[in-house]
Amino acid sequence: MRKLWSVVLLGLSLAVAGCSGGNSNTGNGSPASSSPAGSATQSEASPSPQASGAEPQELVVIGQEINASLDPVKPLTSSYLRNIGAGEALFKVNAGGEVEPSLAESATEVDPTTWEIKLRPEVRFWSGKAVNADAVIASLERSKSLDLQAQPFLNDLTITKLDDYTLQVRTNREHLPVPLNLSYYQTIIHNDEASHEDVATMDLTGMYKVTEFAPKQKMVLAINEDYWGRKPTIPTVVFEEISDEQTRVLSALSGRSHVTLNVPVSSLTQFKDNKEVYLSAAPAASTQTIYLNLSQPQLQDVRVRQALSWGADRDELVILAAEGQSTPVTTWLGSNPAYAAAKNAVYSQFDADKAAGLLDEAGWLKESDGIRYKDGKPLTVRLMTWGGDKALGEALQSQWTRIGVKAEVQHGDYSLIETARESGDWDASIEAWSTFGEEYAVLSGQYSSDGGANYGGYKDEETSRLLEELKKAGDPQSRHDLALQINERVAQQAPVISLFPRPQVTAVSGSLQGFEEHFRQFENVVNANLTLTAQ
Amino acid sequence: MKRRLNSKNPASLIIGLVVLAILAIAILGAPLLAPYDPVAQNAAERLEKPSEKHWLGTDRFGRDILSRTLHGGQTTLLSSLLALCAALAIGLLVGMAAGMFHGSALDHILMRIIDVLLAFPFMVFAMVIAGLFGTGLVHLLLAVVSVWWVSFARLTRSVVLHAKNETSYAAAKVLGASNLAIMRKELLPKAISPVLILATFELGTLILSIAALSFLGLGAQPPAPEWGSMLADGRAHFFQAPHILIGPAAFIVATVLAFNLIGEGLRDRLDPYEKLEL
Repeated sequence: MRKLWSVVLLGLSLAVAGCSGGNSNTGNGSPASSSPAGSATQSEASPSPQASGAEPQELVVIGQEINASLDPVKPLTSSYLRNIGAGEALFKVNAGGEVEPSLAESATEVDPTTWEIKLRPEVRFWSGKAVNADAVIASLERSKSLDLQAQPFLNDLTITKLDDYTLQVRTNREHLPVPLNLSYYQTIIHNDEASHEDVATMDLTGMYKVTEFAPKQKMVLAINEDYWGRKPTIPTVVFEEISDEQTRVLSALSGRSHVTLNVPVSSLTQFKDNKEVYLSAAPAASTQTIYLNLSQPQLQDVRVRQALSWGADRDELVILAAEGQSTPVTTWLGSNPAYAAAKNAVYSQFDADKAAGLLDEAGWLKESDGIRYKDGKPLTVRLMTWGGDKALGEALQSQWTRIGVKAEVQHGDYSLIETARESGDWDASIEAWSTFGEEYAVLSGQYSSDGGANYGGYKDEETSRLLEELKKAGDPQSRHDLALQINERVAQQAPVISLFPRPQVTAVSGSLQGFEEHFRQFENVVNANLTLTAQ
Repeated sequence: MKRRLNSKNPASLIIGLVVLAILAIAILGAPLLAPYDPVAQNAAERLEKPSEKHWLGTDRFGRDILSRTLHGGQTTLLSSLLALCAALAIGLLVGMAAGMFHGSALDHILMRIIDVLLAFPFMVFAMVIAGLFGTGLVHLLLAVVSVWWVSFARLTRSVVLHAKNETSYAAAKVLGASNLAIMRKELLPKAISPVLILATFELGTLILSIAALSFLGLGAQPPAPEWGSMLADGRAHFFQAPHILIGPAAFIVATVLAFNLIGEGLRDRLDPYEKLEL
């Protein structure tokens, strides 16, 4: 009965989604197969993906968003390409958090500021071009110059060629974990001479080649027959965007998809007792964070920013917006287990009185309508949310209204946030960046004045000084301590407000074997071990 | 040919009016009748089933669904009425002008605009407006009005064309009445009845459309209650707490049904072509 409901609702939801034009496949259609991407009626007839008994041919992965471009230097594109097995970096981080070689064969720290990286001579781009030292350097240089988000990982590295398959990496500071820096998706290796505007001309190294692409709709991939490593067995991978969270859930429940990313926590009960789909909830080291635009007059006063942080009841937010599937953190690094001490720093507990006091002190006084005013102007904060964060926005809106802030929530596509940031017309937005990685790279990316994720224009002398110290620090303990100091300083200055680690729930079909739970699931779904069985 | 009083059963009109009156009292009296603040969150009472305390239960934020439904009705109904009035005014004006100057360049231009708007999917048009100007109730109404006047304009034009064949129109012309005076005194009264009947039917459709667009996130923004957005928010908890959907869904159905019944009743009573018996 539940399945029937799921199928009916899936049909209805797809019809609604179809109205928005968001998910209709305008491509040339996927290769013929015993496809799980069939109609609702097919799903009803065959309860699980590819239940026809024929050899399963197609892995269907559903994400909340997929790429709008094929060029790895465009924002987030490389994460989707890596996720689906099309792109690779020199190194990768395994599910245990350890860095291991990928396109690189090995890495050796020659001295505190020099590394040698050996490349695999057998690696080729899809076009057949060798992935040698020249190609790798050109790729990384292109990422460095065109992708702001790659810069924190590459800016401190000077890469030169020792021989055709050996790189020398000189670092600006001692003991920089170069392999970790070169494991981020922003550093995936691509042919810099190729045009990455089109499926026919793009050139990467992954085990799957892109064969069809409809921006923000669908990507179809086929096995790269010349892959250097272990070849996958599933011939085709389909990566589709379903932005509506309930439609994603129904896609998983109906058996339409094998891997469904970003399952909303509000839907967990729907998977209870389901024997055909299981949930993977690997802890994610990324903090749900409110980024504040410090160029807005009302947010230039640190007391207002601190008041917003004191006025956020994180325990309640976890219940209302994350269905209790997380724990509050008050500072950004708090979501990283290595920095457990940062979890409750600075804003030890929700304190509406303290928030009110700070706003009074800043001259924002409450009037009869419950809103605070200064010089006749109300204290407003327009919070932009996207994806599954609408509920979080609404919960925050209510909490901030209680302390006299006229909070508005604007929920929509991520592109609206990007456009608003470009024009400077925004007050606050919610995002979750990974806190895992080399301390300087992750912290400078967020809080140095030219950091790629420093959206609000935070500029603080003390933070910059501490970042410089961190950059020079050699031994792990002092790096750890400095990272904690920076984290605390930032929390005090409150250019961002940290809330809780973002819950990361993935629905996986029981017919899929070899799926690897990963703390960065959104970029680590497809691997060569995946196999499909007819259920 | 003789005229007779309409003998059809007035039950539909009466039922429609009674249902509408009950809804109107409930919705307009929301500030007095709603037991709770519709936007007040209470984490301790989230997703509660219907009970004596919360007749329709609570949503994921612990907000009382009955209170939100009643207040949400104000948003939905008032915005629908506002959009209808604006569309009606534009439609009457354009239809009268096109009919009055039938065959002229103005008529051709207006009719081609109407053809284009009729050919364009309304939902897509609303999304384009939202994409250009942002989401929100005002922009949603702008999108609705931009398209909705078309049916009124077409009907008005056809009524005007029909009326121009009548002797009263010819008499007014012969007596030297100005175009404006003819439109105001001769044509407008004839167009009003059929257009009002159409408006009653259209109001039901309009309520559904506004709810649908709010369902897609293009209408009222949080925390404002609105029936469509309440349905959208409730979907995520459908299996866990299906009661969330009952309030807004029932009110939408009842309201649309009421307007359709009233429309039927009015058509039976007012439509001149329905009254004619050959």
